[in-house]
Amino acid sequence: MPSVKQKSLEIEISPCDGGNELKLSGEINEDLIVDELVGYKAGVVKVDFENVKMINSCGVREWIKLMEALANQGSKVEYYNCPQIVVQQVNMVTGFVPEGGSVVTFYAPYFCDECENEEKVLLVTSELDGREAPERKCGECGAESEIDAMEDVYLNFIPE
Amino acid sequence: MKINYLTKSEELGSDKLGNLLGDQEVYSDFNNIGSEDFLIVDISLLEELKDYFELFKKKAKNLVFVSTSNDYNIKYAFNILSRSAPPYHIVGLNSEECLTKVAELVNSIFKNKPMGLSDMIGVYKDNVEVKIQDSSKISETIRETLGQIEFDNCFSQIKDNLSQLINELLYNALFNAPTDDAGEQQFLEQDRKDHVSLDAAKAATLKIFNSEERIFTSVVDHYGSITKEVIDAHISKNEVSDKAGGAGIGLSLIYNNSHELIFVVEPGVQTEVISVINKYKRFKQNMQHVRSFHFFIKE
Repeated sequence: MPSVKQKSLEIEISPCDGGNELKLSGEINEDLIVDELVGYKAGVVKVDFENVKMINSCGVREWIKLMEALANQGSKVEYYNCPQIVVQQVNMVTGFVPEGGSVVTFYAPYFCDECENEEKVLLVTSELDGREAPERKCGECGAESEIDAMEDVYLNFIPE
Repeated sequence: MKINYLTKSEELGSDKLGNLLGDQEVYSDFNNIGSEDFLIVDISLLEELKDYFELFKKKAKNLVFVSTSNDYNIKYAFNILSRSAPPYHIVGLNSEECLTKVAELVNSIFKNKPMGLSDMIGVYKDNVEVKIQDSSKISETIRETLGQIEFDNCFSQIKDNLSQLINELLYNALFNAPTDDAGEQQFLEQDRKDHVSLDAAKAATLKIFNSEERIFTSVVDHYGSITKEVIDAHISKNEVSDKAGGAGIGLSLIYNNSHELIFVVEPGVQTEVISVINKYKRFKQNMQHVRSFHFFIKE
């Protein structure tokens, strides 16, 4: 399994159905070198953001360049396990998700009023009813727990 | 000093503001504004009152835009404010709290209390101060600095948000603020992959004060070069720039991560940027909290 180690980010690349999966670990910043991550066979590119710890404005710009390069080689990009800091960029920055790309799974904060437990819950975009997040049982006390965000803002990337 | 407040809101009208100010008289008359007076304008009236803005800007020393609805047209308000003389202020986003914020602001200016960090803080739990002159040390400095602070009673995402906020503040202080003897920005177009190192005397200072209720972050550069035009052009930007240098959305990330964002500029001497975040257990309350922006020029 090839692994690309850059200054602030490590990318594990592995084949998957119809393309490649990129698992990212570290920070997306100005040190991202786009050229090292393009040129693979066109197809689906599944990006796993699970271990992305930070992203800054210069990182956002480099990321958009990478997405444009992948789109130009005919790849379709899918985002998985997006933490809150990535969801923020998806909602705010034009082009962070490339044309034709999608957010398949993402984390949302949940809060239980009963025991004040905070959890990050992985949601599947296609299972949501538009911009409405489902209620769930708190992982600590079993009481009802609800999304801890303004849904119309946090889930803004989901088409109505 | 007279307070004039123009709004259509009945619930959040001049009576309510007068009460919050300790039963002060609040006027709704924009024809008789003195140079020291406050003029507080509801953003929803911007379009309707646009013919009067040249007059307002000339007359009112303290011009405040307030949004009494959640439909907060920040871009428009900034655009108008950028053409007026500082100080300028925008308060909005959460209708229930915004007038309280306006009252605090009016009181602080009445008492001639500046809005710099040293005037805002009391006794706090953590007090971190670090100087930074080399941009290659930014990530490490942020990790070490935030590692020293306990953010109890706060949603867990706060550390990631602060990390991003401080990163952008420090990049601005080290790449965008420095000017040469002719006043030209030295590193504005420099590739951010190539690091810069400032003289020790010009190092930026990062301070974090963590209280029970709020987190104050201050970054001071020793150039005082940012202008309201630059802020206006970038604060609500959501498209990255393809020009050499920064991506152009850093200020927008800073604003989005702050409840209160304050610029105090001493032209040619220093700029202090202060971000205030109110601490909540719930991320949703953080999102809903009133946002405000203030720009001061120190002569």
